Amino acid sequence: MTLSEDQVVRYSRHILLSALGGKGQERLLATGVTLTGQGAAQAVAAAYLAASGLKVSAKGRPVAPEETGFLLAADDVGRPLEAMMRAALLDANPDALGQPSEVGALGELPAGFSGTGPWVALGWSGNRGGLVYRGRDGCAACFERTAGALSNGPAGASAVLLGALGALAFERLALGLSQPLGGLWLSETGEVEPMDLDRCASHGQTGR
Amino acid sequence: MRPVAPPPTDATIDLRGQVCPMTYVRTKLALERLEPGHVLEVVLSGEEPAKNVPRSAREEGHEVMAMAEAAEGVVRLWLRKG
Repeated sequence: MTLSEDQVVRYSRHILLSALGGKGQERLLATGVTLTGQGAAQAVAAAYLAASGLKVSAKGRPVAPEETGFLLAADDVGRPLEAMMRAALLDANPDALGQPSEVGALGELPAGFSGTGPWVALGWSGNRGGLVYRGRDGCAACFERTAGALSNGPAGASAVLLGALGALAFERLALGLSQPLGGLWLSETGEVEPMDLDRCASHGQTGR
Repeated sequence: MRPVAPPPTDATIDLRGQVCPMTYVRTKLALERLEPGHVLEVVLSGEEPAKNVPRSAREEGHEVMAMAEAAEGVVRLWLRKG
C-alpha cells in the first residue's frame, strides 16, 4: 500500500513521528476496530481512531445520549449506530471506512472482545478510569479477568481522557510498540499509573 | 557553501517550493522506500528547509553526506539512509 497525496498531507504529523513514519501510518490504515460496548469514553476513542485512519465499525443498537459530542450529534440519539457512525466517518475521514486486513475490538464495559487485532477495554472502578489492553500474543483469559473488575461509568472530562488514552493504547498495539498485555489507571486529575493484572491460572495470580 | 562532487544517488526528490514540515515528511517517505546505505538526493529551496531537513535526517540516524548550492536559494542535499 502506498499513501496517496491526500493521505500524506492528512497524516503528515504522524509520519514525522520517529516510531511511526509512513510505514506505521500504512499499518494503521490497514487496521480495523469494532466498537463492542457503549459509553462516552468509547465514543471519544472511536473519534481519535477514525482521525488516525483506522477502520471503525459498530452495529446492533441505537446511538446512546452519552455517545454524542465528537463524531455523533445529539440528533443521532436513538438512530441506528451503524448508519450514524458511517455517515459521521464519511464526513470526518473517509479512510475510516472500508475493509481492514486485521480487526480488533475496543469497548467500554460491559463489552465482548474478539478478532485477531488489538483488544482494549475501557471502564471504571470508583472514581478512577481504567483500561486493559491485549495484543495478538497477550493472554485472553488474563485480559478478561482484569477487565472484569471494571464497569461502565460517567460521561465528562474523565471519559474524554480515558477515551483518548484508549485510542493511543489501541494504536500502539497495532503498531507493535506495546507490551502484549497490560493495564492503566487514570485518576480524576489525569495521572496515569500501571494497573496490576489479574492473572489466570496458567499465568499465576498476582494476589492484587 | 563549497562546491562538492555529487555522490552517486539511488533516488532524487525535488522539493523546491515546499515548506516545512512537509519537506521532511516527503524526505522521510522517500528514505523509507530505500534500502539502508542507499543515497537520496533532495533538492530544496528556502533557508528553513535547508536547515531543518538535514537536522531532522541526522536526528533519525541518517548520514548527511554533502550539501551544495545549486542556484540562488536552491540547495542539493545528499542523505545516506541509516
